Amino acid sequence: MDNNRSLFNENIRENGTGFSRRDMLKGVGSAMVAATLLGFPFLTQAEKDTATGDPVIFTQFFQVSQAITEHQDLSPGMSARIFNAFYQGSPQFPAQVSKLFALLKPGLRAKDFQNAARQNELGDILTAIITGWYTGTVKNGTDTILIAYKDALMYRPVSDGLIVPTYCGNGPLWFTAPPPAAPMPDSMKEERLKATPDSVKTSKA
Amino acid sequence: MKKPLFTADGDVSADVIVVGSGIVGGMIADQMVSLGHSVLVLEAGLRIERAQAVENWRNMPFANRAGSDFQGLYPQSELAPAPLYFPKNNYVNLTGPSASSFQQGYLRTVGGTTWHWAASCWRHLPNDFKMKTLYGVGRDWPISYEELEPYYCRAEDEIGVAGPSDPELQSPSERSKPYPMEQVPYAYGDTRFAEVVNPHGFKSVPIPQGRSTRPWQGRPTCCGNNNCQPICPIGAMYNGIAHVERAENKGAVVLAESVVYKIDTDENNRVTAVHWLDNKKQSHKATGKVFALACNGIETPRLLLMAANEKNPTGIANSSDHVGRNMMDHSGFHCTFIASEPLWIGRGPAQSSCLVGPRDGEFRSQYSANKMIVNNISQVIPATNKALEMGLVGEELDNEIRRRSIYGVDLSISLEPLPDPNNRLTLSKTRKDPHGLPCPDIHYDVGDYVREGAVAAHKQLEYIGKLFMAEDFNITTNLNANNHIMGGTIMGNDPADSVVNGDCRTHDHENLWLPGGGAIPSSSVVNSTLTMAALALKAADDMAKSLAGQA
Repeated sequence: MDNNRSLFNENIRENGTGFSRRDMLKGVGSAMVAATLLGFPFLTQAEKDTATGDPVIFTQFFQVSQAITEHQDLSPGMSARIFNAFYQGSPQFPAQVSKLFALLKPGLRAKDFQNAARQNELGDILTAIITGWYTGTVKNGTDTILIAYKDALMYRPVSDGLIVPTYCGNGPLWFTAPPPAAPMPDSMKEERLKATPDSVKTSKA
Repeated sequence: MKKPLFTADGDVSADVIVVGSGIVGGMIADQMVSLGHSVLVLEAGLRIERAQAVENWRNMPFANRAGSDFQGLYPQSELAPAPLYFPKNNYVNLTGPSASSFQQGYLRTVGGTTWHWAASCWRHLPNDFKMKTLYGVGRDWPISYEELEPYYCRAEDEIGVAGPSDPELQSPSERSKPYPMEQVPYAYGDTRFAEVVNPHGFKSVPIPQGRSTRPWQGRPTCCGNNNCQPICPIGAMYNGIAHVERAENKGAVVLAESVVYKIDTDENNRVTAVHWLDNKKQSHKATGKVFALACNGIETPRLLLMAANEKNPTGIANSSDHVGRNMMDHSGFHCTFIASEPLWIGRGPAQSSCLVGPRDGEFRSQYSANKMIVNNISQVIPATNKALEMGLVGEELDNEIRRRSIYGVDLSISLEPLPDPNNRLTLSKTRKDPHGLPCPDIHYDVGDYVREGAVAAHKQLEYIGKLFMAEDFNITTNLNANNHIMGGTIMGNDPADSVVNGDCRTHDHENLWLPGGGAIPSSSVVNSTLTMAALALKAADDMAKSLAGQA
């Protein structure tokens, strides 16, 4: 499904925070973005067009998203949907993304990225971006746009013990089983650094 | 199979005319058609599909889901609005000191509001029927617990209630039959919560639930989708649509988008017909022998008032002037905190256990009883809201969402209002619905009995908070509505101060019944649906006797 991950994942380990500037230096084209998004048939034409129409900003947005969430395995498809919602909602958005991207440095932690953004009057847009990823909803003025339900990142930190409401494949009365331990399991910490297509990103009990 | 007879112009006649297709209307229709009578059900709202509601919920923005917008996912008839809050449609205009505590979210749809209930199937306590006698407050019922008990059993069978077999865990334990299904088993959080609070008298018991713990009359076993409210995705939870469909299979006819607005009476004040408007605003007439209005605690009094006619100038069934008075709901509040140990709330159905220690006692002569539900809705959404509000990002954000989700507790507390004639539903003189029918206005004050009950409950909750070494301990100060609408067609022996008798038959019209929440004269602290269903079955028996010429 995710048939061209190289755009976003090449050299993922190279700089410790999981994003690479090499693609940017090489130049990102519409064709590369389009090829990546082929793996996400649920996208609307408008969502694909916005991303492929501004491939550099789109790729910068993806890497900004990875940096602030500290999740490497973000879905390019969901990224295209969030990107489109912001892009259509605000003419300043592309410039803001570029400025945020310019603040990124190898090894930068999300918290330091957030501080740098705040110092450059980019704190609000960065908050809006991470809120979009976690809640699956983007707010633009009076418009509220649903991006994702079960793939909203908020469900990930507890996916070893809680289902995403409405979705349950665990069988009758599954909830009588003992819950997991309280600390975040190592497997979920490692998951942060792995790239997986969102089609296999399902919750487990 | 005896069916209603339609004329070419869309009028109809049947033995039994039921207005409203929720759990009460559906159950009465099923009872009466099972006895061989022809039955017509008129429903103001749309017929909806479960799968569509599930999909609509998933497609609603985060803020609607975080704000428990349990109405917005249900397609609405443009001509028969339900109260909506995202944004507010002001269909019901609220005034009075507790106006904001009476924002009800009932559905106008085939199957009714049990589409989005939590399926709690509580009985009133025997003492709840004797509030005036025992505690000197409120009203006594004209019937006793013992008289209603067989109907509670039948209602539990009809719904398919899963409840505890151990009398120690039953509230109340006065039962002539066991629950039809074994209780919904506790998840870890309920078990642990009970272990911590029970030594201190709070008495955690399993909530009797209309939810399958084994396959039951076409319903699958609950698989813990944790989405009972606003829609069970798999139909393991009972919804009123079950009885609507059962009745239809036996020959009852259910007409959606049919808004009843007028009631004809004869020289003996018997009801002869009701009139309804269809979705093209055409009026039709349904003639019958016996009539039941089961439109819910707000819509039934509204209809009675708007249907005033020459012989009944203040409204149908309203010679007492008590139609629309004594409006009640379990005005309640929430207590949230972060426990010192993980409880993993959110595994299993929306609610499984409840603290009933403060449900009854001598104190009821002074202030309201309460019950405290361990709300088992996943805490991920409020945890995420809070963690984002704290400005967290990256790994810290994930860690805080996990911490708040698995250590977080949300208790939903219900209080018992007393019937007060001043808490009153009237018809708006200015606001009309799209059919041109007057919208309801409601004046509401929860009263000092509830306010003092809230103070007592706060102290109990602070004690619980200490047991869990709570962090972020918070009690909501505004009382919230709970959709348990009662009192507006109140039951009593005296036709001068009540609307219906112990069979929910009106004092004024010998062939008109008003079963459901409106009849309930003392609210207890428990969800009203099972009592409404029991009253529906009792009313159906009385209707059957009437048709047989026996009463």
